[in-house]
Amino acid sequence: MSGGSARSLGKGSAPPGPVPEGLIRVYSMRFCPYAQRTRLVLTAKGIRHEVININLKNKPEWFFKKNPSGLVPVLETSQGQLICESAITCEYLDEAYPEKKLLPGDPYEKACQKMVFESFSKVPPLISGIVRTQNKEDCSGLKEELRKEITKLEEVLTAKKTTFFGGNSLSMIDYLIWPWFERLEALELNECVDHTPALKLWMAAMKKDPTVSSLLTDVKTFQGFFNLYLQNSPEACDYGL
Amino acid sequence: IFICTAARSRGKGSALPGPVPEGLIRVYSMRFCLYAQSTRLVLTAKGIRHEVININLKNKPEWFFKKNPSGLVPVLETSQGQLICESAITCEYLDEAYPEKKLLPGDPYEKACQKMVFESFSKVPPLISRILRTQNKEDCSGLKEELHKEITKLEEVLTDKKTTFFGGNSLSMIDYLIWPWFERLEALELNECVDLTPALKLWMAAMKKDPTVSSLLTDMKTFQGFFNLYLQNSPEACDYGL
Repeated sequence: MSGGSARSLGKGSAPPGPVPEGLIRVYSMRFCPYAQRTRLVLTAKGIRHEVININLKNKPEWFFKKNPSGLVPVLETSQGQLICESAITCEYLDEAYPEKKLLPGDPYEKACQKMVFESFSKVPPLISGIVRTQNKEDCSGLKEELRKEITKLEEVLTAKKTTFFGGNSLSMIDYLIWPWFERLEALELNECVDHTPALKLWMAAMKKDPTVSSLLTDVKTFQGFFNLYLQNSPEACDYGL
Repeated sequence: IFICTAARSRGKGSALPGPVPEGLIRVYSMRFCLYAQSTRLVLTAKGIRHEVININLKNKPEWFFKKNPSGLVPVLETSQGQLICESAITCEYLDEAYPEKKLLPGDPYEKACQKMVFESFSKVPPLISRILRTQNKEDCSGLKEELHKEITKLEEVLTDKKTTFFGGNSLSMIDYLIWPWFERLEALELNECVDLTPALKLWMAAMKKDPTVSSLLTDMKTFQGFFNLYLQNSPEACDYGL
């Protein structure tokens, strides 16, 4: 595993060479929550990989050949196959690397994880909306909605009576939703988990996981990144390097 | 292999259905719902014995919210009482729980490609919904432009792959997932959106020849009759034509 902290590549940079045999490459950005899902899965499954960080405020022209939408994460194999969309990359990795399965084998249990993921899917756009909203009044409406969505997730945990969303061990669904919960403190949204004790316990348990803690970013670094990112600074993605 | 597909929908005040008999799977559906049609296409294509309970989406039974708190179809219910919601999740569940006649490829990369096409397609249903609900012809033309763009992306997938279907030269899961919206283009007077897309036109013709697709086809007039009533929120809409 190399390059997790490497400077991002921007406009005018040379396209990277082919992916060496025995490795898989992820195009990422150090603070992107979607790409963090993919990196969590790569790390949890012990998959040998290299990371190329993309300057999302100054994208290299060659990157649009990897993903026409210009978004990270993107996986590239040594055969040049490209896989986009964070949830699709995570499922691909779990199937292509069968050791340490993160998704359950049982079709119903797998479907349950996907239903939780679907339920969670309103959270990222709400958090984005809150981050971009200057007006405190508009914010309170969005925060109300966010609390509602978070309450649904609390109900999943309390109904299951397990520590994690897939049972008593950490599994795919936990990694898929973690990055947004990791950012709550940096975004001053901790109040949204005030009334959700099972979620608080889950967050504490997640932070103890070796994979999660190896990819944790501290609050101050996040905040430094966010400030620059909201100003569209081309320095944002390399904050702290 | 299926029971009661033409049955009248269940509405408010209807009795809670009993448990699902052993050896069957139940789908809560609505005869004209595009999302539920994907699930019924998969059940039929895979030859899975199933029963259909239609829900009156304009007058939902109270018990249905215990099956799916969001009140949406499709929902699968097994004989063990397990409930699976969300159309794409139901389709994948069926492909895994019933391993004969696999609709998704075994290769992880090929499967990922089908999911990327599905993601690409995902802007189409909300666009079509909005066009249908928009009275003003001017607002409509902007939405139709966007729909053209999204459909062009799908054309490019087909022309790049140089195959008849979205997953290769045989029909597979991705084709069934996106078909219901293309089936409706004519009824919704949106056929112009595939004027410039010859590969898609050929795909549509090939789809209509598939036994599963053709067994679940709804003719244009019936769909338009349903749709008129549905837009007026009529509780009769879901049973139109019965």
